[in-house]
Amino acid sequence: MVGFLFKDNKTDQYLDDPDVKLMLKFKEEEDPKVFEELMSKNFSRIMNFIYRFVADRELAEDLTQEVFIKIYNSASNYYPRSKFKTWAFTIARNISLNELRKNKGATVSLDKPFKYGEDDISLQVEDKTVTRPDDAIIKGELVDAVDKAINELPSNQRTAILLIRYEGFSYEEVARTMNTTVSAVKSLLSRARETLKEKLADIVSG
Amino acid sequence: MDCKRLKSQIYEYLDNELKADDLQHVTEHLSTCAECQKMYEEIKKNWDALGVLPKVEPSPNYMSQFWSEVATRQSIVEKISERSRQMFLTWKMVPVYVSLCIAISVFSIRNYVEFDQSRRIMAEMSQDEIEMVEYIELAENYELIDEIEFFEDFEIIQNMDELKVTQG
Repeated sequence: MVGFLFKDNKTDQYLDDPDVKLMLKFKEEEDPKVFEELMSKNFSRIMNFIYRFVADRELAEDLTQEVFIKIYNSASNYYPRSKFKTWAFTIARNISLNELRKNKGATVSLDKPFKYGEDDISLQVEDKTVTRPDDAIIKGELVDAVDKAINELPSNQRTAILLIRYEGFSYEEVARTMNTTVSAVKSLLSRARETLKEKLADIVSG
Repeated sequence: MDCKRLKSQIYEYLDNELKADDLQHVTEHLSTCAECQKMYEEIKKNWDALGVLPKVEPSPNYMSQFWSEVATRQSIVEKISERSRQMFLTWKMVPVYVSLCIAISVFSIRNYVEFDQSRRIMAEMSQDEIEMVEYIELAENYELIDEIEFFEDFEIIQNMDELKVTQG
């Protein structure tokens, strides 16, 4: 009803985003199938992002439900002021950080390394360029080392690395998600990479 | 392009963040400088290694769980609004609302009558009498203020400097 107050050129630039289109379609038609399409496209990636903070599959799924409930509830007042993914990941980041604050220190997965070969896990990226040792034990060690190294990063550096490495965000998109500047993102990434390089030096080079 | 400049742009190159001309310079330099090529491969190896992290999958029924959660929350909101509607919009509450209306009306009328009376008295008084009434009110206010302990303390605070001088 008051949409015209918010409608500006900035809004128009996001109308090419397919997920923004879906949100607007859902707002218009209130068809649950449209929202389900939006969820099926984004649920898994948001859940994996949250999982990197809380290190608990069930909790990550519950918190992802929370993200989509927030999105669902704001549909009636929705006006695109950013790409859908930067908006959704901003909500996901805030929910994850709140969860971390609630359970300070309890959710870092250092005590719970991934059990490689479990039914509910598969490889994050089918990256053909990765040198894959045949030995599953060495592979498991690499997974544990990477998991530990990422978990030990401060939350801001972790967010930046996760969004760039696993979600393919641009620096600009990360900056928008984290409500900061592109140069701050570059600095976060640079520090994170230095730390990861040090921590993974033995296992990656070896 | 020199090696120092390449080093400053290597991560942006890896993240596909370089503009066309910078990208060309970096690509050219990497093809001619073995040392920088080695450094880039090392960085890329580390970056690629992050790709081995396992992925968690949502439960098969995550969609139905979502809708049932939405329904539960909506029913809670509806229940609360229904309960408040039942609580406030029933015939049982009519006497309460009527009593409230009567109380507010009586209070307003009483205030209006008192105000009207004092206005009339003031209108009949001479200027000297009005001033005297104001002085009496002022004196009463001073008495009240004098009884408040806070102002006693305030007086001490005001005289702190003098006290310090005396102590010194």
